[in-house]
Amino acid sequence: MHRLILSALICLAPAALSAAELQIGAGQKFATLRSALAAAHAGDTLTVHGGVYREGPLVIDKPLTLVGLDHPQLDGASTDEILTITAPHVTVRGFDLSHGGTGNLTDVAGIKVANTHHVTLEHNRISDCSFGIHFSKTQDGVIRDNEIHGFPARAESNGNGIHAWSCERITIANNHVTGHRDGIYLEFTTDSAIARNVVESNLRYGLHFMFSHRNAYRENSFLSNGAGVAVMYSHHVKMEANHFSRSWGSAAYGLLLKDMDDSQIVGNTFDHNSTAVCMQNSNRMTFERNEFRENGWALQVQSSCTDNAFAGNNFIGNSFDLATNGQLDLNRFDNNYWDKAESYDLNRDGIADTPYRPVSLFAMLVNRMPTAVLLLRSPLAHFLDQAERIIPSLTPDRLIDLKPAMHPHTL
Amino acid sequence: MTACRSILSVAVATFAFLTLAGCEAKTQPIRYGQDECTGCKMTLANPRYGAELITAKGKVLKFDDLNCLLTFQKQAATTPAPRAFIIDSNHANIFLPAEQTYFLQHERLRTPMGSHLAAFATETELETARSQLGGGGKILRWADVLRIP
Repeated sequence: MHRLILSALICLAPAALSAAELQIGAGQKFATLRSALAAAHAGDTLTVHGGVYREGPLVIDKPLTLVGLDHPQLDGASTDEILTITAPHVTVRGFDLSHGGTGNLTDVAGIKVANTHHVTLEHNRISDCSFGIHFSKTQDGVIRDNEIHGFPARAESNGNGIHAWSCERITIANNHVTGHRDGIYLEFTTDSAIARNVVESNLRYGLHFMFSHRNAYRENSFLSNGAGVAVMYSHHVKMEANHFSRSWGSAAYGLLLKDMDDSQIVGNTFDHNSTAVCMQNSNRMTFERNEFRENGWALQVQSSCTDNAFAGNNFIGNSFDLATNGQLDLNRFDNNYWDKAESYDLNRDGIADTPYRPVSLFAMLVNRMPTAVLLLRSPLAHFLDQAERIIPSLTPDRLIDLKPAMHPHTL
Repeated sequence: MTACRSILSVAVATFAFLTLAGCEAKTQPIRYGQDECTGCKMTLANPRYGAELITAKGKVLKFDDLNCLLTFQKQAATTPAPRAFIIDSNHANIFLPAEQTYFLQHERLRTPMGSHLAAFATETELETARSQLGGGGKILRWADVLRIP
C-alpha cells in the first residue's frame, strides 16, 4: 500500500513541480497569447495582462488555466472563432471577447468547447459574437458569472448566448445574456443545473431546450424575450423559483411546454405575459405554489394534456385564467386561489364554499374566434360569464376546483 | 337583351379570371422573430431555414424546418396536396419550389428541429456548401425528402 502511494507521488511530482506561470502582455516574457499557448505545458497557468490581443482564432489543446488581469481584450476582428477549447481541465477567467465571426452554415462562437470535459469559463465578457459560449459533446462544464451580449444590429444572424449540445452535467449560473437568438439553448443536454441567470431581450427565447432530461432550473429571470421561454420533448425537469415576465405577442409565451412529461414547476412567478403558460401534449406535470399575475391568459392547456396537477397556485389579475380546446377531464385543479371566484366562506376554514370553474364561457369564445377579444370587459361578455357560472352548459363541467382558496397563498 | 347578356358574360369571365388568378400559389415572406411554426410552435429565427405549404385554397402555412413540414403533411394528408416552397439556405427569404430544390443532408447542419437539411437552387451552390462543411453528407431531391421516415 505504501509503495503504491509512493509510486503515485513519484508519478505526480514532475507534473506538480513543472507547473509554471507564464506572463503574457506588453513588456512581459510573451508578447502574444499564441506564442505562450505554444510554449505552455499541461497544468501551467497563463497570466494575461490588460491590453488588446488581435491574434486570430486561438486553440487551447492542453490542460491550462488562463487568467486575465484587468480584462484583456481578445478581438476576433469579425473573422472566426476567437477561442476554441479541445482539452480537458481548462479554466478561462476574466477575459473580454468581442467581434467574433459569423458562420456560414456552421456555428461560430466566442468560446467554443468541443469533445472534452471539466472546462470552466467564468467572469468573462463576451460581446458581438454570433454564438457566445458554445459547448458540444462535453461533460462536467461550468459557465458562471459571464456577461454575454449579442450585437443587436445583426440580430438575425446571431446564434445563441449559451449553447450546449449533447452535453452532460453542465452548470450554468449567474450569467447575464442579452441580444442573442436564444439566451440559453440546450439540446440533448442532461443532468445539468441552470441557476440565477438573468436572460433578457433576446430575439426569440430566453431559455429554450429540447431533448434535455433531468435538468434543474432555479431562480433564473427570463424577461422581455421575443417569444418567452420554450421547453420541449424532455422529462423529469424541475423548474423552481424562476421569474417569467414580459413576453408579449401572439406567438410569445411566458413558458411554452410541448411534449414535456413528469416535471415539476414550483414556486415560479409569471407576470405580464400574453400567455403565461401554454401546454401541449404534456403529461404528469405538477404546478405548485406558482403566482400568475396580470397575464393575458394564465394557462392555455390543450386537450392533448393529461394527468397534470395544479395545486396551491395564485391566479391574480389575469384577463383569462384558463383556456382549453377540450374537456381536460384528466387534469386536477385543487386549492388554488382565483381572484375571479367571488365566493364566500361561512365556516371560515379558508376554503371557498362553492367550487370554481376556471374556464369562462367568454374564454372559450375567444379561443375559437380570437377577434371576439374586442368584447372583453363589455357588459355582454360579463353577463354571458355570469349566466354560464350559474348553469354551466358549454364550458367543460368537470374542469373544476372543488376547494378554491379564499385568500392568496403566501408563496 | 343581347348587350345585357354579353355584359353579363364578360362580368362572369372577369370574376372567374380574378378568382382563379387569386388561387395561384403565392408565398408570404417569413417574419423571423415573429412567425410561429405550424408544426412545433417555435418562433422562426434562423433565416437560413424555413418552408411554406400553400393549400389548394391559398392558405399559407409556415414551418421552421423541413421535418415539421413533412410531419404536418403526413398527418393532414389533404388532397390535392399543398404545394411546398423551401427557403434558399444561401439567400434569406427567397423561396424555391420544392420540386426544383437541391437538398443537402449533412450531420453538421444544425437546423432548428434537427432535420439536417439545407436547400439550394443549384447543384453548384450545394457543392460549395458541402465543401465548407468538410465534404460528406447526401444530396437529395424532393422525392427523396418525401420518403424520409
